[in-house]
Amino acid sequence: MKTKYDDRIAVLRKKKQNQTEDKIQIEGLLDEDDYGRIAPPKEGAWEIIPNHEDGSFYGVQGWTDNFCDLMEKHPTYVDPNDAFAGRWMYFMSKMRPNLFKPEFSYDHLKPEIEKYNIIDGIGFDAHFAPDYELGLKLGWGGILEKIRKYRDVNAKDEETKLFYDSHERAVLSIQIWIKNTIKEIKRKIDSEIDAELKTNLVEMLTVNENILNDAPQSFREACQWIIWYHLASRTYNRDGAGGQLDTLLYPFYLKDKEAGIIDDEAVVYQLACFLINDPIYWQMGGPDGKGGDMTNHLSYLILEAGDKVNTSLNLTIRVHDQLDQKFLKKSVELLIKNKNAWPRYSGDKALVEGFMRNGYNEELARKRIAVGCNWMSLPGLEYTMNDLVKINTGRVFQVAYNEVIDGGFKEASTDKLYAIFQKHLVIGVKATADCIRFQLEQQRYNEPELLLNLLSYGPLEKGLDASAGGAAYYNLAIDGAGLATIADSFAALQQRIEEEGKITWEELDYHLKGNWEGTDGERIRQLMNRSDRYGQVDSRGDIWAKKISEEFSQLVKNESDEEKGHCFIPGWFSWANTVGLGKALEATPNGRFAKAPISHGANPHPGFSKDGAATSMAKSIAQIQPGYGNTAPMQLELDLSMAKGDQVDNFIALIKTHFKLGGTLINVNIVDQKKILEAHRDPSKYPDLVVRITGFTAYFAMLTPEFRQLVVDRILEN
Amino acid sequence: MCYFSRIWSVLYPIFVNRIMGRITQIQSMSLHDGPGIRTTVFTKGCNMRCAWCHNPETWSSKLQIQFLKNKCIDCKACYPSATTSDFTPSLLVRPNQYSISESITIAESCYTGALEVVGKDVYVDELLKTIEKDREFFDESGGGITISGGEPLLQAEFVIEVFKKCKQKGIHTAIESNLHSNSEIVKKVAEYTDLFMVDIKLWDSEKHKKWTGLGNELVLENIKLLNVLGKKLMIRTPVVPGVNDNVEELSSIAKFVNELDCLETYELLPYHSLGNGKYIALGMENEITKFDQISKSHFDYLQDEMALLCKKFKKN
Repeated sequence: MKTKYDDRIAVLRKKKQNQTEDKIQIEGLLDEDDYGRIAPPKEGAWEIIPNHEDGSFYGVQGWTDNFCDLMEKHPTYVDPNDAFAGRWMYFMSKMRPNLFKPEFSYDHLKPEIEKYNIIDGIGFDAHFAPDYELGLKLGWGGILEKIRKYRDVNAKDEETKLFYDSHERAVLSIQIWIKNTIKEIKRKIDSEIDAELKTNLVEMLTVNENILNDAPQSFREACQWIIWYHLASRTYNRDGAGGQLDTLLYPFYLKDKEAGIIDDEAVVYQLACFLINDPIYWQMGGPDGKGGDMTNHLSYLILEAGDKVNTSLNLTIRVHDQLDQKFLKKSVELLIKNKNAWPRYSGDKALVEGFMRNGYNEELARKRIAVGCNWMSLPGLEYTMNDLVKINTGRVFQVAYNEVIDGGFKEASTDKLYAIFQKHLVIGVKATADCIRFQLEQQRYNEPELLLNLLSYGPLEKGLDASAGGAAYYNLAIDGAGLATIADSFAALQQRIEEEGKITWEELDYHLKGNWEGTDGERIRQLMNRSDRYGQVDSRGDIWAKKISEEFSQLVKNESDEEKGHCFIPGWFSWANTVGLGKALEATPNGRFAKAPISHGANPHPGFSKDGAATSMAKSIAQIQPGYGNTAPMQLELDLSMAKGDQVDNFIALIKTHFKLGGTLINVNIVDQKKILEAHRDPSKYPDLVVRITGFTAYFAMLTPEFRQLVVDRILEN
Repeated sequence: MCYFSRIWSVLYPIFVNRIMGRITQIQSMSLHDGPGIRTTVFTKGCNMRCAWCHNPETWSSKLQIQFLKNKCIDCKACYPSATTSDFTPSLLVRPNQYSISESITIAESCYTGALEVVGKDVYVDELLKTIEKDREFFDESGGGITISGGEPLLQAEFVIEVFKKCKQKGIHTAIESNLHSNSEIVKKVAEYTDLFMVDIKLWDSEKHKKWTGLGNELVLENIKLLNVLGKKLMIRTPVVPGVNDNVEELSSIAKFVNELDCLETYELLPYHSLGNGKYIALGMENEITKFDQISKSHFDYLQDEMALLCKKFKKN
């Protein structure tokens, strides 16, 4: 339905497109989320203030000084068509030449990190969720009061005093950014000639003045407050976690509706502006603590707003037994209609049951929501390192394979290979967990979580950083990467060498070392590649994948330490690292070339079966879930035949069945093959084409050619 | 129970399980062959020769070899087993060059998928296992199994056995058939079939014979029979330029189907030439009949006209 706000939204969409093009021109291509960030003005660009001879900055003092300086100087952003002020521009954490203070040596961990190609997470930031409800209740003034109150109670030493002083400075500097923006809004009001836009700016001014210190009272104020917090938090260290958006904003919506100061058209417009501001990960629907459905009228309005902006969006629908089916249907209709890779779907049953296996109760498990790329979090309660730490199981396989071959071809067997693989997996997983333990000890001195501490329960109360005892829980994520690559490799060895005798270990090794060179190499590669692969429910590859996943999950769980409160949780996820991790890997027996990407998350390799049926893939992925409340997502690449209105019910059935069988997260691309090929040839032709890369969506035009190729291959081969 | 009855009760299921069908493909997550998410089984062998057919691999009931040139890496691994010096892989798809057993042996040495045997024999229980893999998706979506072809009724015993077992397990059954078959066979299959999907390709029997090789009298009789039996019917007409893409031809069909009490839907399917590559891969280039693509505007016009004539018309 067309509303009076549609023209404004169209202007904002166009502007967003221009901003993306500018970003590409100025900063180059990026295989990452859009983040809603825009390129800073060329003149007078802000630069970091190093506090270390290596040119980087570290520690609470360094981070506070840099953040406060940036906040005070940050360019303002006001658009009369927008309901809200502000955009973020500087990737502060990425502007450092070095991530981790050199004095905190982890050289003892480096041999294993190198050997097993571990993404160690040391010095990596954020990746846990704030509780926006806390912020909406307190406002900036309330947060300052809280800081000061607990400083009086806890600041018995200089370090603790510095902790509180830094948080206070951070909040005061955010307020300066808002004040500067208020001045800019006033300037814009003076120069605006369009009456309606002027009114909009006046309202924007009031909203920002009201929330400068006080807690937000209206719907628009609540949205603007959230925006300011995440703009600051994004700037600080890229934090992109959202929350349960529909229930978060619902009390404000109801209050304004009852007071008669807002109608649904205005709400949709404001939500559209809210969503275009930043593709944050928001969950909708899902169960409350007691299992009742949380879907409300605002959930529908958020979908409607998403439909209006239809940019890069990371909205997740939490699917559970009591979910409003009309809402689920509406969401699928939009996914199919827009073909813009949103929303995505989170499976409540397996996530809740899995998280409870860590010893948590059902009510808490239901509050752990989908707020990141692949990840779940208890807002304000957990420190998790979600989606930061990965072990390349392909490399573990390769180390084991080389050891088997070194022992002689005659002695080689898949049994022996698996036994050696297990041995190295034990070492690799322990080394990965050690990296996390190291981070927990040192990160507060390297990069304290100044912003996320503000909206967490514990850091301010205890005077401790979230990374170092401030958080209520430490549910630490370790993701495996490359499952299909190694499961298919085991299956191919078993089938082609041991069962069919079509090739010997020696012949295979010759071709692996030669990277399948020559016509004969290609022929053998095809033989191995066409083996009984993972993704067919009960194939040899599936049997290996299940076995490997169970082993990996148990090893990760074994790293938990109740006394220290460390609960390690396994997952299968590669994020956008499929390319990088693949580059560290030689040719593998599944017919993969050296340095080619490893398999994507929990997905089978493209072309996993002759009919490529999503149903068998869905079942296979459901079977390998680690089962402790973190995800092993299914990435679905669907062609246009699925994108017809009459397929909505079938798509819903696919989602529900995957989740019933144990699935945890579904990401979807519905792409016109012709369009994606044209966009690959000339990305500028389709500047608004969005694809879901992994957990995140990205503008296709922003991806590097190598990554575009990967996405194209995935779509064409599935 | 007497001794022989006991033996028979043990042997009977084994005996029945040995019923075999010849198929070309099993397609899981099939979305356009009946309601819900389905597994479609394509049988091999057809009694019609529709000039626009895009599944020529299902014509012959015999095993065949296909050669996909784009998959050939010229490794010549198939050469040594060939008996002539001027061998090329494409010779395997030519009739009378090699016996099928020779061809299969040669094709097995191909690791790239360039040479492949088309057709395989499956036991009923084996097929059931594959079908049941998607059981949960059938249940959630109201889907099931569809047996298509080729012409499934040429393997009626196999179809009956598969459907009987599916019904025992509560799986929805559908068949895509040209219904050019003995009415007794149709009746037997109907006992275990929830939905019939049938093409009425042309109204005029002579033209029908010209374009498909067979007249349509039996087809129409069997449709009426199924209607009397109370079987759900989905009737389709493939719209082929120069063959039946006119209102006169289609309106006769629409009027006929309008009289069917058990009609679920009547729809038009636009002709496409996607099957031409298959003809070439199978060495059947000579069988290709060239048709123009139907324009979207003309197809939409025909759909609009049919929608006026048939109350259960479904637009595509």
